[in-house]
This record gives sequence, structure tokens and C-alpha cells, in this order.
Amino acid sequence: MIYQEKDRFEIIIGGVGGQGNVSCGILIGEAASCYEDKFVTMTYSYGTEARGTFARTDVLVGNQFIDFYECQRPDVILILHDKAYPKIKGKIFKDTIVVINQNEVKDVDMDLGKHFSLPLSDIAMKIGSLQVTNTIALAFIVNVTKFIDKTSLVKAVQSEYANGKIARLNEKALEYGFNLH
Amino acid sequence: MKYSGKKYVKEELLPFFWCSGCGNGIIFAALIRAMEENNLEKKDIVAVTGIGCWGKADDYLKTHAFHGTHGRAIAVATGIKLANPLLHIFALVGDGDGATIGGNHLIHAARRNIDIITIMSNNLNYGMTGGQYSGTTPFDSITSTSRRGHAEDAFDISNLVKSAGAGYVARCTIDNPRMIQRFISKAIKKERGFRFIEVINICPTYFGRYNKFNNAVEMIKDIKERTVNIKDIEREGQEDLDGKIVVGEYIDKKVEGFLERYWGKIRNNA
Amino acid sequence: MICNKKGRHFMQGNIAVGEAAIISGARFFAGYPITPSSEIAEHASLNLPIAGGTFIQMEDEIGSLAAVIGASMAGVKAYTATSGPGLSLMNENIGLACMVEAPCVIVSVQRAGPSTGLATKPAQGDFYQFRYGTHGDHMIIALSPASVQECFDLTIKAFNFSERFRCPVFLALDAIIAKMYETVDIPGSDEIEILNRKIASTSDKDYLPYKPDENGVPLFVPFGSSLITRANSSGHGIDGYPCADDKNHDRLVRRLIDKIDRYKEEIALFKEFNISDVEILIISYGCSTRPALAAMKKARKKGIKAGVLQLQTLWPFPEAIVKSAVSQAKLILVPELSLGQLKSEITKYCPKKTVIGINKLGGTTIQPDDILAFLSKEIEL
Repeated sequence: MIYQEKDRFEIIIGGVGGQGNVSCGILIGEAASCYEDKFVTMTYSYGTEARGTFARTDVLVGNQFIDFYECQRPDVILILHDKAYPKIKGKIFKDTIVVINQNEVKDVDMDLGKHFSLPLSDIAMKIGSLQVTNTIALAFIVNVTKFIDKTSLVKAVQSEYANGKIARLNEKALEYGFNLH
Repeated sequence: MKYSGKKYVKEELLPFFWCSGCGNGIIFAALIRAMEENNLEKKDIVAVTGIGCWGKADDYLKTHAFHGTHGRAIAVATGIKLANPLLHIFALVGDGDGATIGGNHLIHAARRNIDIITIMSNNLNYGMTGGQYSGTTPFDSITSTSRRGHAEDAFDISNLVKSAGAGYVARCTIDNPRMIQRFISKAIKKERGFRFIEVINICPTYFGRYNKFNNAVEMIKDIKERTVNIKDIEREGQEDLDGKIVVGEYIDKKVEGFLERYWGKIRNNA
Repeated sequence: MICNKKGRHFMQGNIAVGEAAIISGARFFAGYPITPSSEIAEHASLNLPIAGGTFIQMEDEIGSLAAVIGASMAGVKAYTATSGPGLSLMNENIGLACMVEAPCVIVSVQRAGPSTGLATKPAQGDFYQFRYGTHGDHMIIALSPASVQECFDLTIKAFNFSERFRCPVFLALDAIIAKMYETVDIPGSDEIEILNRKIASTSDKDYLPYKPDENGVPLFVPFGSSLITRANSSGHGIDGYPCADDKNHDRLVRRLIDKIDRYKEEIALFKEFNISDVEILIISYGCSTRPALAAMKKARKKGIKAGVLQLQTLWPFPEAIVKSAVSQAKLILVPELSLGQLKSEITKYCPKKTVIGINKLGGTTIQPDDILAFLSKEIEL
């Protein structure tokens, strides 16, 4: 499928609080809004606890204002934690790309959607910090779907992590992610 | 120094509406003299009041004034002072207003050392509402809502405000108007931090009547007899202070005050 | 944070409110943290000091609004942010703001109630609390955004209305719109109209703090001015001194309402979608507008003449707008995250029409299909 031509691109990120689902969505939002003139809406459900409970982030990218803010038919589902998979499983369509962090998520149905199991945590550790797990996943998703340009993601990551060690780690993460497929 | 008070007092509204024998007029006069002594301009003064007998004090002033909801004078005053640090803010609160419904605002303003002066007229009950008990009503007193005696203990409000962190706390009584003026004047000169002056007042109409005082004079005599100066205690050692009114300065320390910290540090470094 | 940067951003609703507040000229925030509004306080704490303003976290919401009103009467634009439980505490001083005529903006992010309810979940159950929360006859203005862009735009309008009418203005948010991130365009400050309260000239020796001008709004004088002013929550005459006279009270309270009410058509902000040939009209505000728009589009594809009226102004209730929009509709649907508060208000102005509420509790959004189900079913009837 040529995702650049889709009027709307829908991503669900499932994990638990504290894994950076929201900052992951913000990277997509900034990349598409600020560097591609697209309209992005992002909602997230969360509990009263700051850490550890199921958290779901919906990101919708479109060429114009998006009426409804919840993913109806996700193009991509990214699962970062075991707790999230059973709760989001029902949203997987035949052509949904399902990206799984296989270091965190064990019990998955490989036949649902277009399945990619990736050792995201292992790669992140190799790069130097678990904090860049999501960046690797994003780079992978952008490379596979091309729903936004790679350079837009790079710019968004650079603007979010302007300097220091964390910027260098993210730069590496992007590189790894773009070359995973 | 001779005082006229003309600059601050709206004379056409006199006499005060307060009951005869009430000490609010004494506190008001001391406040006016302290303003005059420090040569404050009325445009630089905001009197902030809540609801209660003492909350009517602003009615007799020609200065800026904010008369607001019951118990919130100190919170309103906080907003005014932070918006215009050059103003002298006097929160005029009663014991119901300041120590009871607004008690939380009082201790937090003291903790923050908001740069305002609070003058509490403490007459041990709700006068305007009809003599019900407040947070400073002594144990076992009779009030409209403790007709069979009072089961609760009273706040020692000056010590409470001192513990909360205020830079200046003093207690005095309406029996000694000069002391009231001296403390208010000192608070004005201090400029910074939360400055709290508790004035022990009488309410002959309610508290007095309920508690077997025949008139205001008896109540003032009672205050006089029970008054002990904090300096005497310091000099002569702790006597039995049960039932005593300890007057004097409870704390007078140098504090930065909220504004100096916020403007000087947070804002300048932002 | 972004603070005052023109251009395209991907921003949270709460942050867009904070940005717009500072651009509006607000320089004082007092508040008490509460989910789902806390980002507004956090934004203010971070950004007001840079703008030369002051942030303070008060001991409760009662004190927060009291401090906001105090700052406003000292001449500084001021705001606070809360949610239903905090708004319940603020009600005391909402009346104070009305009575002393203190311009201020109160952002309240609706979450599922009653009481502490579901702290992180959205609702639209405070519709009447905004209007009638405080006691006594009074009038307020309430605006409600349905997107992050509107969070920005309507915050500017909220400050402008509060300055113009010298009254509290609510920004009636909900947890969906407040917490969502969206693409936003921040205009340059030269492109934004900012209104400031009318100030009396210091040479006006006959100044009276509560003497209304031709629009019913008194000229403002800040504390500290050489003209002396008084704010008074009790019955007061035009000089600001207490007055318990019956006729004076009648005149005062009527003026406080009338100064807003007579301009309610100007205050009524709304958006219409496919209204010209509408047969089934969906009326909504805030987050429920979004599924309504999606349902409308789906219905139109099926040939159903559906349209949406989005109310951006909730109070004073835009009755003229509603009356005109419903005139040719055969059916009116009102989706909302409450058991029919908006519906009940709408019904007052079209008693002969069929008005159906699509109501949801539980803290989850209304789905487009929830509305579509009604659209299709009713058409078949």
C-alpha cells in the first residue's frame, strides 16, 4: 500500500504508563505538523497512576482537519508492553502493520495483521539506553510505511532532543530503525 | 505627634456602627494613627476585609478597599500584593473570618510570608452573626451555639501563625491602644514578610452577656487582670499561664518575604 | 515550552490555553492542581516568570480564585484553571467576581463526576454548574472549544470578553480536548485582537467605582491609582460603599446581568456545518462535536441531510442561533457526555421539535456510530 497517498493514517501505540507512549506520539505529531503541513490529532487514555498501568495513544495523521480523534481502522499498531496486546488485539485488521517489541511482549498471535516482531529493547541497550526504544520503533514504522518523510522524523527528533548525549543516542536510534527492514 | 486621621477616615460615615463597648473603634483608631505616623499615602493603601463586625472597618476608610467574601480577605490580599508589590495591604479580619473559616489561608500566607499586614480583631465569637462560637472561643464558654458549654479548645492564634513561619507576630489588647499602634507601626516599617497583629477584643453584646459579664467595663477589667507581658515572662520566668493573655511580640525575625524571593530569584533567573 | 512563538505547532489543548492566556496579556495565575487541568498551572509556573508575571499555587481553589480576583482588581489580567471538584469550591468567589466586577478567566476541564468521580476521564456534566453554580441572580460567559486550535482562539476571546464586560468568563473544556494534542497555528501577536478593560482617566475627579458607562460597565481603576477605588461584594452604591436599599439592589443586580445579556448575540460564537438543507440537526459542544462531525459526513454519504451546529458559546445560551438552526430540522440530536444537560436547555427553545439526547457516562467518548445509529434509525421511521 502507498501510505503517502492515504487521506488519513492511523497509529495506535499501546504500552503502560511511563514508557513514553505520549512522547512517541508527539514526535509523530511534530514531524507531520511542523515539517509536512499535515494535520495531526493525538489522544491518550491513562489511569490515575503515574506509572505502570495500560496506556493507549491514538495518533491520526491527515491532509486536513480530522473530525474524530480515535483510530477507527489503524494502519499501524505498536505494542510496547505485554499488558497492552490483549487490549488492542481487537483493533488489528488484515492489513494493519503490527510492530511488537519482542523483548517486552511474549504472547502474540503472529497471524494477526502484518506482523513484525523486533528486539527493540535489545537494540536500544546496544545503542546505550532503553530511552530510545520508541525512536527505533518510529524510524522503523516510517521506513516501512513512508506515511511521512524520513527527514521530517529526523527533524522532529532533532528539535525535541536538541543536544547532549540523548540527542546522539536518538540519532543512532533513527539510523538503526531506518535500517531494520 | 498629633493625629487627625482626616487623610484616611471617611468622617461623614461616623459614628461607627459597632456596638457600644466594642473595641473595634480602638483598633481602627490605632490603625489610622499608625498609617499617619508612617505617612502612608491613601492611594498606596488597600484595606481588605471579609465578613464580620471588623470586616466593616473598610467602610470608614477613604483608602482603596476590597470588601469580599467571608474568610477570604487574606487570599484576596495575596493576589493584590503580588499584582502590585508597591501597595501596603492591610487584611482586616476577625477571629471567625481569619482564624476559623479562613484559617487555612492564614497559615499558608504566614508560611509563604506573603508581604501583607493582617490585623485580627479577636473577640472570641461571631459578633455580627449572633454570638456563635469561633476557632478562638475558650473551652467551656457559653455562646449561641454552645449554650450548654463549649467542648472545644481555642486556637492560640498568635502562636499558630508564628509556627507557620510568619516574620512578625504580635498580640495586644484593646486595653492598650498605644501598644496596638506601636505593633502596627512596626509591621508597616518592616515592609517584608507576613506580619500578624492579634488584638484581643471584647464582645459585650454576645460573649459578654452569655458569660456573665455585666458590661464592657467589666470585660476590659478582666482582660487587664489577665494580661501578662511576654517580656516579663522572659525576665521573670514562666509562671502559670493558664487563662492569661500573653501580650507582646511573639516573633520579629528578618525574612525575605514571598515577593523578594519570587521577583528577586525566580523571575530574574527565568 | 513554546510560549509566544508564531507558527505551526503540535500542542496539547491545556498548553494552547496557557499560551493564549499569556498572549492575551495575562500576568497572574493562582490555582490548585487538579487532573485533568494541571498542565495549565504547570505552564504558567514555567512561563509567567519569563513574561514578568506571577504564578502562585494556593492552598485551595477558594483561595485561588480569591487571589485571581485580587490581582485583577489591582489591574493585572488574571486566570485560574481547575476541574469540576475545584470549580465547586470556586463557586463562592465566582459570585464575588460577578459582584465586584473583576475581569478574570476560569478554565475548567470537565471530568466525570459527581464528586471525585473518575479523575482522568472526560465528561460534559458541568454545563449548568458554569451558569448556575454560584448563588443569587447573576450572569457569566462560558465558551467551549472543540479542538486545540479553538483552545487557543477561544482563550483569547475569553480574556477579551472578561475585560470588556468586567465579568468572570469560563473556558469550559473537557478532558478529551484539554489533554489531546493537535496541529495548531499560532498567529503573530500583531494578528491577534487583544481587548483591555476601559480605565478611568486620572483627571476624572468625580470618579465613582460602580458608575456604569453607556454599556452598563463601570470604568476601571486599579488599586494604587491616585483615584481611589473600592471593590465590594456586598450590596453597594455606585460609590462602592455599602448600600442595603431595596431599589439599589434591584438596579445593581439587574445591571450585572444586563451588561452581558444585552450583547448576547455578539457573544454567541458558533460553527455551522451543512445547515442550509438540514433535516437532521446535531447540536453539540466541546469533545462531542468531533464524533458529531464524523457521523454527519457518514450520513451525508448515505444521502441523509445531516448537519451540525457547534456551540462555542454556552452562556449566555445562544438561543437565537439555536432557534434559527432548528427551524427547518425535522429531528434534533444532542450527543453529550452527560444525561442531557445541553438537551434540556435546547428543548426550552424548540418545545415542539423532537429532540433526542445521545448520552454517555463512564468517561469514554461518544462514537460516531452512536450518533449514526440514531440518524439511520430515524430516517427509516
